[in-house]
Amino acid sequence: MPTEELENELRRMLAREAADIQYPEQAGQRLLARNYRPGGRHRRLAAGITAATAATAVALALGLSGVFSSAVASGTGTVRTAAFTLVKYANGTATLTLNLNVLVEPSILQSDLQQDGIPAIVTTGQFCSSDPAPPGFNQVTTGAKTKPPTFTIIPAAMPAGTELSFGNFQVPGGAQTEVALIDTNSYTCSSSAPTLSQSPAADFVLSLHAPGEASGSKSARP
Amino acid sequence: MDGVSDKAAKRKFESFAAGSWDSLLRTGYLMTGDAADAEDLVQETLLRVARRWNRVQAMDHPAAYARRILINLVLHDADRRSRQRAELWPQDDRAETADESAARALRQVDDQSEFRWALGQLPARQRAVLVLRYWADLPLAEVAAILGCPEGTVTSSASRAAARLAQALAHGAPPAARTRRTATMKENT
Repeated sequence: MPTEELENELRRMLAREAADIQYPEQAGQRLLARNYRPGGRHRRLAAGITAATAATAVALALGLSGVFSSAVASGTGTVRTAAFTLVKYANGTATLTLNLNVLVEPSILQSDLQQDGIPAIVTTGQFCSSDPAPPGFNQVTTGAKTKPPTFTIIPAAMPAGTELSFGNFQVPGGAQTEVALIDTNSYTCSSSAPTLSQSPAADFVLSLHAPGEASGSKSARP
Repeated sequence: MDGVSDKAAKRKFESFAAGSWDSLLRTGYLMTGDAADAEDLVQETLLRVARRWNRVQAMDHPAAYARRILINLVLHDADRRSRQRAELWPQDDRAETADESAARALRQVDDQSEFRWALGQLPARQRAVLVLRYWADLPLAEVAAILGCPEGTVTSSASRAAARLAQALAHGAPPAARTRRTATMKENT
C-alpha cells in the first residue's frame, strides 16, 4: 500500500495533468454536436479510437448542443452561468472557466466555490490580498493560459487558514479578474485593480484579462 | 421504442452526455497523454453508451459504466498493440523504490511535461490503476472490478507504478518530450 504522502502526491500531480488538457470546452462542443442515437441500430457517424479525423469531424444534426449551454447540469457537479463554469470532480478538485466578457456576480461565484469545498472571497470593484501572502499559490491553482481562461483549483493543497481571493473589475471591453491566495485572518482590500508591475502583496497573482489584453499571466512578487 | 419514449430517451442521453463528457475527456487524456486521442475515446465511448442506452439509463451509475468502457477501450488497444499481456503485471521489481523516494520525485517535478512523459512510460494497466485510484478517487474494490483483478493486485500495482514514475523522472525525459505538449503515450503501451 503506497504511503499517504505518496498517494497525496499522485493525486496532486494527476489533477494538474488532467487540468492541462488544451481547449476542453471546444472538444466538448464538438462531442455534444455529434449525432449519437440512443437505441439506434446504426451509428450515424463512423468512429473509432484510431479515427484521426474524428476530433475535427464536422457537426452533424444537432440536438445535444442545447444542453451544453443549460444553466446547471444537474447531478454532475457542474454549474454554468454566463460569467463562469465551475466543475467539481470526485477527487475534490474543481475547474473554473471564466467568461471575461461578463462581470461575475460575486455572491454566486463565492457561494458555488464554497459549496465545492473551496474557501473563497469574491469581490467586485476591489481586490483583497495578504502581506505577506501565504505560500503555495502555484500548488492550489494551475492552468489559466487557455482562452477562455480555465484553471484547476486543488482545495486539498490550500494551507489551513487560507482562502482564495477573486477580485473582479470592469475594464474596457470586458472584465478583469485577479486571483490570489490570502490569509483568512489577515488581508486588506483595495479598490484599484493591481497591475503586474505593481505586484500586489501575494506570492503570485493570476491576472485574467478581457479579450484583447494579455491573459493568464502570473506575477511574481519581487 | 415509440416516438414519445424515443424522445425521452434521447433527451436523457443528451443530459447524460452533457454531464459526463468533461470527466471522460480528462480520463482519456490521462490515459493517452493526447487531447485528440482522448476526444476520440470519448466519442467512441458515447457511441457505445448510446447504442445500449435503454439498458444503461436504468443503471445506478451510468457514468461509471461509461468510464469503464473508456478504460477498457484503452486497455484493449494496448493489448492489441503489444500482445504482451505478461507485461501488464511485471514480475520484475527492480524498478521498485521506496514510496518516500517516489513521493520526493513527484514533489520535485517543476515541468508538467516531465510528469506527462513519465506517466507515458507506464504500462496501460498501471496507468489505469493510478488514474482510477488517484484521479477518479475510486475505492480499491471498484478499481479491481474494472480491471478484473484482486484488490491486492491494485495496491501492489499502484506502488509499482509510483516507483516506475519515480524512476522515469529520475532518468529524465528526452528533450523532445519536454517540449511536446501532447506527447503520445501509445508507443509505450
